[in-house]
Amino acid sequence: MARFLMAVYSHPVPGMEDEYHRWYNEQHLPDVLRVPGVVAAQRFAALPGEDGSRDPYLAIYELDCDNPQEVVAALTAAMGTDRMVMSDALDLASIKITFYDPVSARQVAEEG
Amino acid sequence: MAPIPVPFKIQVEEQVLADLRQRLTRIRWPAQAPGTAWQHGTSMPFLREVMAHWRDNFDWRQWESRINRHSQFLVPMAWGDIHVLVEEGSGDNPTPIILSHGWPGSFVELLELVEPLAHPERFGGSVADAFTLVIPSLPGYGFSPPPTAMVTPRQTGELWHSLMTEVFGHSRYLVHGGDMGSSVSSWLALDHPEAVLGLHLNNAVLQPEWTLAEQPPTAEEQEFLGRFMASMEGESAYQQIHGTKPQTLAYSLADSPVGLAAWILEKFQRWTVGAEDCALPFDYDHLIANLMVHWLGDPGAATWMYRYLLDMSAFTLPPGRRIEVPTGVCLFPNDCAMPPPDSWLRRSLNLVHCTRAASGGHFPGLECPQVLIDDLRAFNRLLKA
Repeated sequence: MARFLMAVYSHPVPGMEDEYHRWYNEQHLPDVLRVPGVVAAQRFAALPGEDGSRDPYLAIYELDCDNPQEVVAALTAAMGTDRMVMSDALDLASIKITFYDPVSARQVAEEG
Repeated sequence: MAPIPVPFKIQVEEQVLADLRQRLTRIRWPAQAPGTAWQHGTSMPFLREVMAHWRDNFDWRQWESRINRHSQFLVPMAWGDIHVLVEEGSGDNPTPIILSHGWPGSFVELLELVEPLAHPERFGGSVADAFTLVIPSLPGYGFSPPPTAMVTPRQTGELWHSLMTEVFGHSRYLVHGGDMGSSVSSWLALDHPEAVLGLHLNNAVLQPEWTLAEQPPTAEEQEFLGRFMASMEGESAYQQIHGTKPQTLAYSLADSPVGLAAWILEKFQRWTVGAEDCALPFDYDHLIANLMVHWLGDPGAATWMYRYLLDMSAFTLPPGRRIEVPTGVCLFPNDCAMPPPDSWLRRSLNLVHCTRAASGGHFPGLECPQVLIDDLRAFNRLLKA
């Protein structure tokens, strides 16, 4: 099985940050993890820049599948149903999705 | 990788609606041409009522939230984003189907079908009849932005195939369409018989010209062709404008709600009741919701495909080719695309199901949705049998 990463960048709707994080962590990651082929997920916040502005939040999903397109189709089919409840706190216009295919083995620093 | 669908909701900015309200209060009305109300184009008494309803009673936000109850996506494709409404069907095995609207309709033509087709059990039907619906907006229509080229119906069929298979993961599916969507659906069935389980049309528009050399038209077919040509007399000027000088028209459609309404609603009258003294078979709310989808998009771009109607390439089957996938039609007597005789249909289609409705016209999804719903279910049952 090939392993891919799916990176989803997004912003909350202004003023709904708390609901956005609650929905994303408590509702959405578990929903996505029920989709066959999605094996792990974690979210990250960009550290603020000097002027306090932030790049979008990032959700990283690890996929164990032969064809990430099948995962996309399954995600799309579930979206908006009770299997994958969406949130008004997510700014849909801000979403960017990128898939990554490994081009190297994972290398780690030598202990010492 | 195939395009990745991005979740989408319609959220029109308040300033766009405020700008529209301004325009609706500042209409400059022309004179009514001498003669009867519809004789020279869209009736002024009718249009005054529609525009008053639009200004005083129509609530876009209500439509927006109604539409947003369904999953929607923007899918980045070859000539720009395609807006797609998706409704997963009930049960374990809903049949995937892609439905295509035409001009001057929009996906609003198909909205009344969504819940009953996807969830028949909620309407007294059987869950075995459920469909998973994929409803794209044609390139340049509504929330599908103007494409970067004037895309043909056949190319649009390719986009739809990619949507169904690569993007949404349905390797076998049904296809339904009307008007320009009938052309798109027909090409899709011609080009992808390996994927299309069946083709369903509410008007049959393909021209099987190449068959005429071997099989000259029968008397019945000649009578139909003559009647059809006669019915087009005085009715095709809009096609010429769309197909030759769409940019000239686009400025007024984009700038004037009443201009847009007049251009579009003439067809909703002419292609349904057609007669001066009959009420239109639509409520104002649905008519205006359809106008809104055009207004909020780029109504000029929605006319671009007509160049392929004028040169007939949208409708002319390549020599020696015929649609071989099982095809069902549900035809309506008042349709401007007049129902042809069976023999004419069989020249282009592998006809396995033919319903000739007792009433109705060009917009059955809005005029008589239940007829279309029943016919799609019957066609699907026939294919599954």
